[in-house]
Amino acid sequence: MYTCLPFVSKNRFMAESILKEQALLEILKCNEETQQYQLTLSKEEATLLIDTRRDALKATDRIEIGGGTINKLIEHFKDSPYISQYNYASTMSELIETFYYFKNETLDEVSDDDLMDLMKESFDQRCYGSIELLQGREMEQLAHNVRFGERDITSQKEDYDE
Amino acid sequence: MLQMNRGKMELTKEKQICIEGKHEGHLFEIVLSEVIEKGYLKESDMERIQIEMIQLWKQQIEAFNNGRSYSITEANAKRLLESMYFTLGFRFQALEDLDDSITLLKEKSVGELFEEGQSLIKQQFERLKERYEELKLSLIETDNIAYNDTYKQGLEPFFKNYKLEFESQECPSNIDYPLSNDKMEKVGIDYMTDYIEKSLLEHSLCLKFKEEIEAILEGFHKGYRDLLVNIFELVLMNAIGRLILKKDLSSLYLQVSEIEEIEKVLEILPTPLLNSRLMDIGMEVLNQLGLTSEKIKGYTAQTIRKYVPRIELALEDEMLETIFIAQKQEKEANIRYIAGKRLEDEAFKQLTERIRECDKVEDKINWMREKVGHIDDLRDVLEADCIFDEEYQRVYQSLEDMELALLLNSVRIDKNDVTEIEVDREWFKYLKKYLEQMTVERQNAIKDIAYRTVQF
Repeated sequence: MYTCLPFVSKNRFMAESILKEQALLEILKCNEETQQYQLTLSKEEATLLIDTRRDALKATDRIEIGGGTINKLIEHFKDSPYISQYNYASTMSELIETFYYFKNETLDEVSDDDLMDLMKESFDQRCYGSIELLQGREMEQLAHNVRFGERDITSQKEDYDE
Repeated sequence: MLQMNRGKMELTKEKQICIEGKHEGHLFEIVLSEVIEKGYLKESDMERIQIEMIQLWKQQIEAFNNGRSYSITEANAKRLLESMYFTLGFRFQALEDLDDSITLLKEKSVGELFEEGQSLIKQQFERLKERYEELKLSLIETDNIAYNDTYKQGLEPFFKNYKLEFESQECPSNIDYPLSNDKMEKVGIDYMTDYIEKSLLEHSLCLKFKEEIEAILEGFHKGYRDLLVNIFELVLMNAIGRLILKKDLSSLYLQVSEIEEIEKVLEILPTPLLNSRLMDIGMEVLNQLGLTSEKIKGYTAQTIRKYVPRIELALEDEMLETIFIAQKQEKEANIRYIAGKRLEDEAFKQLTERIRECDKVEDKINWMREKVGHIDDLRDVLEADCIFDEEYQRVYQSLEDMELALLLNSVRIDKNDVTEIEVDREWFKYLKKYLEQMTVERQNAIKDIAYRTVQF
């Protein structure tokens, strides 16, 4: 996950453990907020999400410290009608991958909050909980709009609404 | 006692840290690595420092992203980390003692050390701005492009674009002009400080001869405008050359013949003696010019040490003129020789016939004096089978030094090398013989006139 930890190499393992532990605690703390939506993550599931994030960051040549993005995604998607305890961990895992991929594809032009808002809106209102539609249609269009300098990067909404 | 200077530590054996030659931007990493390896920090301190480092990195990433994003591209994250290391290292550079470093690591958080590092860099930046203003006032007039581009435009971006918060290890500038002793491994404000301080040292010597800089550069190479050449070195070497010849430092002017004399002095010295002799003379140059600071002495010594192998090689290859430059001095600039009209073919034929008919060499000389107004005609007469054997000697005796120099020039292949000449012609053999009979001083004077003469 971290290709250049801020420490000398012999202590790298220790630093990685500290980071992972820190992120795990932050994610598990989210359970306090999501319980009202009948959503909880076990320690194992939280660990798996951290591993997913590690792989996603590696695949996109990005670095992140702490559990900030996972927490924010949980916060954004906790009230989605398409997420239940049954698919909570697996959906979050796919959303994490989607998020980092399109963070790069939108050239870092869209803030974390805006990107998550757009993902949530599309996921709930036009994709009806389908990650495939979210990735292959909605987010691709968004990335295209950003790359080609469209004034309204969300211009796809009207097209699909029609 | 442990000693730690800026960028270089000299420690007692058990606590020795060797950072010489390592990337100075990573001083903090090196200090930390050594302190941990040698067990000067407890496990708990190590863990705390690691966590604080990570927290600081996280804060820096968030600040860099302006709160818009938790993640960052790997390239930007690495740059931020390097900047963190540089700033923290700057805090440790200011220490004189490694024990202080250990105490600091134990007593202060990484965040505090980072803030203190930033504060020290800010102070350094302000000091450097003042030094840059001083440098701008001490520039010399030259057409050298690298010099002008660097000192008149290239350093300015640093003072406008240096980003302490996220890119303290960067040095946004366009530096082409090569210093005599450039520490390229330095980074960020350290590099700029080093460059400006050394530039000031170099200028303190160059300014003593500011009227002669262009002449010495011209002497170094006709295409000097486009070359990456260090002016300080040329000035220093010629000043040393002058003292070797026991001349004063009112000028840097050296004649070609004088470089040959320098060669005779230096070629007999073995390496250690050559080194110490040049060093002594170099220091004497500074002394005579009133440049007595330890900094300029140390810097000049560095340049001389660098030059010793080059001088040895130049002596070996008989190319000392690449080290000591024979330049055209303003007050003894080019001698402009405006030639008279050349003889028409018919007039030339009549003249050579008349000379040939003369029994006395004095009559021949009179005819030549009366009719010849161009050096090429004189040379043609000498080659026209109308002057014979010992008569050449008499003809040459009748000529002035200027005329003899022009004759030399008329056969010289390379203007920079008066000894490489066509030697087959009879008139020239007698000329050479005639010159050899002269005193060395007069020979040198004629060679010098030949060197400086430009024909129009």
